[in-house]
Amino acid sequence: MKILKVLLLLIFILPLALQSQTIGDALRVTESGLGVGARALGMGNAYNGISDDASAMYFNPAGLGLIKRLEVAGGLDYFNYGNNATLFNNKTNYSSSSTNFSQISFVFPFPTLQGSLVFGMSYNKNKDFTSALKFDGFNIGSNSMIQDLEVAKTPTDDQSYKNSVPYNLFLSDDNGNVSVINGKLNQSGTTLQEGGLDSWTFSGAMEVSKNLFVGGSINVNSGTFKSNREYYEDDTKGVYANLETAPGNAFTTNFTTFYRNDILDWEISGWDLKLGTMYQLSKIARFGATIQFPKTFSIKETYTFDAHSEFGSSIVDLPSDLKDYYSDKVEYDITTPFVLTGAASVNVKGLILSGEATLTDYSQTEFSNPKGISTSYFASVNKSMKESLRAVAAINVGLEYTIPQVGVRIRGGFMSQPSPYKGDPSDFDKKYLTGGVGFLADETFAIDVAYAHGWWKTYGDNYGTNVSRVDQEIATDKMLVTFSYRF
Amino acid sequence: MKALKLIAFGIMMVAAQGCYTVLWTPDVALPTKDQSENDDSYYDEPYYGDYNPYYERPWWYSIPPPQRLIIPTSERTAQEAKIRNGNSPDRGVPERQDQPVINVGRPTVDQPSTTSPVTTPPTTTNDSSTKKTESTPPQREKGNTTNSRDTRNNDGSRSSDPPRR
Repeated sequence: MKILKVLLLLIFILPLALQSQTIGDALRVTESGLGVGARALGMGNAYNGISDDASAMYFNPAGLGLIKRLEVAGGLDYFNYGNNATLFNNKTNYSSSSTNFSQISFVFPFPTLQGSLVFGMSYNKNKDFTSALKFDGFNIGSNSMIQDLEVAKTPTDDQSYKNSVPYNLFLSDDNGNVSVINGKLNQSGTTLQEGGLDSWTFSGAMEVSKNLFVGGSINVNSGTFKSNREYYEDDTKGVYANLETAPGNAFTTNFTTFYRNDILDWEISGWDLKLGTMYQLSKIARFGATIQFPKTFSIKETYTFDAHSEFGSSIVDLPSDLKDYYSDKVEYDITTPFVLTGAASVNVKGLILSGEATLTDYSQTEFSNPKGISTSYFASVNKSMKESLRAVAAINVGLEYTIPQVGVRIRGGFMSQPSPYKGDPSDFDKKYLTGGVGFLADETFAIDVAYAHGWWKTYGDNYGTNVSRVDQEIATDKMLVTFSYRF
Repeated sequence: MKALKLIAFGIMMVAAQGCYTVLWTPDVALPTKDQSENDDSYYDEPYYGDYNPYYERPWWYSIPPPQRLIIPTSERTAQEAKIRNGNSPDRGVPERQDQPVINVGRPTVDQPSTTSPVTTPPTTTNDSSTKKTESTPPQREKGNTTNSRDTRNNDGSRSSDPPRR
């Protein structure tokens, strides 16, 4: 009976060991994107203290109350993610890009005798998941993914090893021990990620006292995420050319390659609420504050796993029943923490200076409601997030100068999003330099263009901790164009 | 939960003080620029040029206020009535669509053969007074003609024209 319990536990845990929900999964939907408005992006997204166009629904819904004309707006963005990865001193560049509608919005201010009441509706592309990674390096150490996946026969469990990947690919002995392969393999791979978070936003704002506005946005969120990871370990130096990786099986004498492929597919849904307030101090300044209530994203996850090994001219595929065994469909929720923002803008003779600070305590991020995943596993990941993540304050600053004679506005900005991981140095903070320009025609039609260049460092472990680490220097480029027409 | 209580408290405070915003209702004229009390323009014209009206001019300012011209009906002739109700080229459809159409309640005449050669504009087909003006001599009842005139004079395309009388 005891053996049966252990078996059941291992059967349940094994797939998790291959690809389980990670802190990175939680941060994917928790960390904010680059916004939806070109004017805002040009000013480093320091926009909570301005927010007087349709993108107020995204930044500070109270700012909608400042809009006095009917507005229709739309936007298109181009995003490129470049990754300069280093594995064992070997650098590899890789990139991926995407083009999306960033925003389609409509704003309707009610006619008022005094004050303001404004409603709006918008589709926003809140975040782009596009990313890319390619690495290639020779690991001289005595470790490998193959060894990391080893499940050996034990006195209390003489069955689990039969489901292990190395055993089924003839990379271990008959007891599941990876006894021959001992590192010294070339490790390479690619990871391509795509998708994004969208929302349908319904907003309203009102002037509750002279120059004091309050507003709220309800976001109905949806999205997709797809990750395709291919990983190779190759015996490029012929270390195992004359050894049987599965002793007793002669065809395994010429091991050349181990390959695994992980495909992760998410369907994301959920809703959230954001409240904001804004005070305009005469013609001089505006002050804004927002509360983003915790978002709950429901994730429907499909995970597909495949692997094979190559020996000279032979290829051993993972049996189809084991592919199914390791692949799975699960559901769970990710709840993000509160996000608090304080902002101000100052207006001096055509020059607007704007700044804001946003507090996010990432350690409050949680996985919950597992279906097909053990509750205890989520408890351990949540504990790990509490211990590994921290509260950070993101800073955004920006400026805009209007040249009234020609109806042109020029902008610049900077934003810093500190790494949510405890102990990360400052070069792991995401930093963006932004710029933009705006044109106005006939007092009604505005075109704004923004460009943002971002850079930061990060790393990822192929397995274990710091034994096959890919150091990454990320550089992103985003171009955003927004059109708006005011009636 | 604490945050929700805080929000509820905020809403109650606002409600207790009474709301600053006063919505326009159809029984009063739309506010105009002259009636505006707000001079806290964030985008002053000298520094922002055309961005000032882009941000600061409410859309309802572009709707002309109704003109309440008192036109002595006794001096009107049938010919003038035909011209006024006719399909003159400067009274295009778009401007008229935004205007309320008030049915003056004149008796219906269902005899096309008596209709004047002046064509009725398509957008005013629900205005029975327009159709019928040409079918019978212009013996207008005072109250109805006043309404009808207000309606037509509310036409945005004509707001800048000088009054005829």
